[in-house]
Amino acid sequence: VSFLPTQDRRRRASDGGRDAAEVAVTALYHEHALGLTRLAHVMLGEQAAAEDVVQEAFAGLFRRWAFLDDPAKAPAYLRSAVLNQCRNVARRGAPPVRAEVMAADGADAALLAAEERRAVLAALRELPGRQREALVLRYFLDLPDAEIARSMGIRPGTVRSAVHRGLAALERVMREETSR
Amino acid sequence: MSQLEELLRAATRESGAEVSPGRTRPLDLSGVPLDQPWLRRRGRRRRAPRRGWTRVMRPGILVPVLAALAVVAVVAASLALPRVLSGHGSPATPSLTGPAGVPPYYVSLSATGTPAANHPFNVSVRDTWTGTALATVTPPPGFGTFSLVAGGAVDDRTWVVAAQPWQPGPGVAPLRGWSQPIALFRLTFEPAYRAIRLTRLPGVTATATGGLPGAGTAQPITGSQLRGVALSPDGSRLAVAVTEGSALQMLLRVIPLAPGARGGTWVLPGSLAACSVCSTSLSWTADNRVLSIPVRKELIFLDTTKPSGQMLAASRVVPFNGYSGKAATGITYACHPDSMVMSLDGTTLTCGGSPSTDYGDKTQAVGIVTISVRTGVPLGFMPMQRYNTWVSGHYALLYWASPTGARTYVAIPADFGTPQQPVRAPKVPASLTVWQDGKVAGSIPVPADIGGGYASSLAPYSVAW
Repeated sequence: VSFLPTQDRRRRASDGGRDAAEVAVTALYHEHALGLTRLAHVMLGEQAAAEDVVQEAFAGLFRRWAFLDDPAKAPAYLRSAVLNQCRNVARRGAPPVRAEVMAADGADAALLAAEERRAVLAALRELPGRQREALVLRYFLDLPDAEIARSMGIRPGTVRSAVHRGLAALERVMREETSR
Repeated sequence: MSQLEELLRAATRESGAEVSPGRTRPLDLSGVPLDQPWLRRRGRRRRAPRRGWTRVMRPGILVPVLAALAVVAVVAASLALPRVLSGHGSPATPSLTGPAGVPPYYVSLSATGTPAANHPFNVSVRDTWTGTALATVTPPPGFGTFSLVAGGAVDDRTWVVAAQPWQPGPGVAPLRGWSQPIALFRLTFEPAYRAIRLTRLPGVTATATGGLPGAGTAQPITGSQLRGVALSPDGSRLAVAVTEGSALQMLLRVIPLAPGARGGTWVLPGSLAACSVCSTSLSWTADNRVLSIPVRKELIFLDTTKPSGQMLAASRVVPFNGYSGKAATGITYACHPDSMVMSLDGTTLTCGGSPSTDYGDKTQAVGIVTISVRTGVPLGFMPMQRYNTWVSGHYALLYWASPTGARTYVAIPADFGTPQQPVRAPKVPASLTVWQDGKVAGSIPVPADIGGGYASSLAPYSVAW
C-alpha cells in the first residue's frame, strides 16, 4: 500500500480531519469486519482474540488515514495488518481456547468428522507463521497467489513454496497424530 | 484438490463460520489518535546521541557486546542449574517422563485477574518444569468459573475438572464454601496440538442439607458438598466423595466412564464422616479396584467391586488418628487431610505431616509421613523444615507423590499457623520443591496466576498432576 506525498497528506488531514477519517474507517469496518474477524479466528481459534486483532487493525488504519493515498487499497492494508497482529498474538502465546464440550457417551460419524476438522485446525496452528498464513489465505479466502503475495509482502513464487511445504507439514503432523 | 486440501478448506470455513454476523464488536475509535503529517515529521527528527555514549562507547557497539554477555549468562546459568532441571532422559513410561519421575504436565486453576479470589478461574495445562501455560481453557457455556482440578490417571494426559456458576468468594480453597451447583468434566490434553478437550461427565446428586433449596431431596451437588475426586489409573472410573444430608454422612459414588466399567454408591453414616470443614483425598490402586478414603479416625480401603450399600461392609478399616496430632499407635503424627496419596500397589499411604516427638515441644519439624496401609502405623518420616515453635496446624503440603511408591514428592513445608505469611518473600518467584530420597531434587515454579504466585496459597485441588 503506497502513501500520499506530503502536501496531499496535509490537505487530507486538514480537509475534514478526524470526523472524515472516522466515517470512512467505520464504513470500512461495517463492510469488512466480519470477514477479517473470521480470518483472525481461523488463525487464532478464539473469538475474543480475533476481535481484538481486528480492532487493532482498524485503529491502525484510522491512525494512518491521512497517509493512505488510495482508500480502495484499505482492505488489502487491513488484511495485512490482521495477519501481522495474528503473528504477534501467536508469538505471545496461545490465547485461552473455548471449551469444546462433548457428550460423555461415545462418538458417532458426525463427531468423528468434527474431530478430524478440529485436528486439522490444531495442526494448522502448529505450522510456522508463513506456511500457516499462506494456507489460510489460499484455502479459507480462496485468494490467488498474487493477492496472497501482496497480503504477506512476499513474492508469488514464495507463496507457492509456502503452500506446498505447509501442506506437506500438515500431512506429516496429521499422520503422526493418527499413529500415536 | 487432495483430500487434505478439502479437509483444510472445510475446517477453516467451519472455524470462520463460528463468528456469526452481528456478533462482532462495534468499532471503538475513541482515544485513538490520528497521526498528522506535520507531527510525524517532527517526531521523526533524529535525536542527537547523548554525549556520554559518544565519548565512552557508541550505542551501536553495545548491541553485540550485550548479545555476547547474554549468551555467556545463559550458558553459565544452564551450567549452574541442577542436573535434575536440565537432564531429560528417554521416558520409561509416559508417567515417568520428567526429571525425578514427576509427570511433564500439570493442570492448574488460573485466576483471570488479581486478587485471585475475586476473579473466575480458567484451567491451564502447564509444563511442570517451566510453569508455562501450554493450553488454557475457559469455562464451558453456562458456567462462570472452574473450581477444582484433580488427577489420578496414569497417562498424564487426563484430569477431572469442576465448573460452577461464578460466585465471588474464596478462590484459594475452591472446594469450600461454594453454594453453587457443580458439574464435572474430563479434561484431556493433546501435547502435539496443545489442545484441550472437555467432556461433560454424568451429574452427581446427593440429598441437599437443611436450609438449602430442595432440602431432603436429591439435588445436583454444590461445591461445598464435594469433598474429593479421583480418576482411576486407567481413567475408566471416577470416584467422587460427597457430604450428604444434615447428618453429614459421606456418600461415595463411583461413576463408570468407559463401557464395561462398574459404578456404585456407598454410604458412610454419622460421626465417622463428620468432618464438616475438611476435604478428603481419594486414591486408587493400580487394578482400579481399591479406593483409599481417609476420614477422621479411620483409613478406609473400599473394595469397589463389592455391591453398593454401607461403606464399612465393603471395606477394610484401619485405625488412624492423623488429624488430631495425638498418638494412635505409639507414635504421634499428623497428616493434612487433603494430601494423602496411596501407592498404586496399595501398600503405603503418604501425606504431608509432622512427627511425634515434636508434639508440644519447642520446635517442630514438618515433612512427609509414610504410613502402612496394612496397619496404619507410620513407617517413616522425611523432614523438610524445622520451625522454632510448635503450632497446631503446621503441616507440609503434598501435591504429588510417586505412584510407584518411590520416595519422590512435590511438596512445600507450608505454615498453616500463619496463613497470611507467604512461604516466599515478596517478588521472589514461588516454587514447589521436588524431593527425592530425602533430598531436594529440583523446583517447580508457581506462576503468578495460581494462588497469587504464593506457594502457600495453593490449595491441593487447585493444581493436579
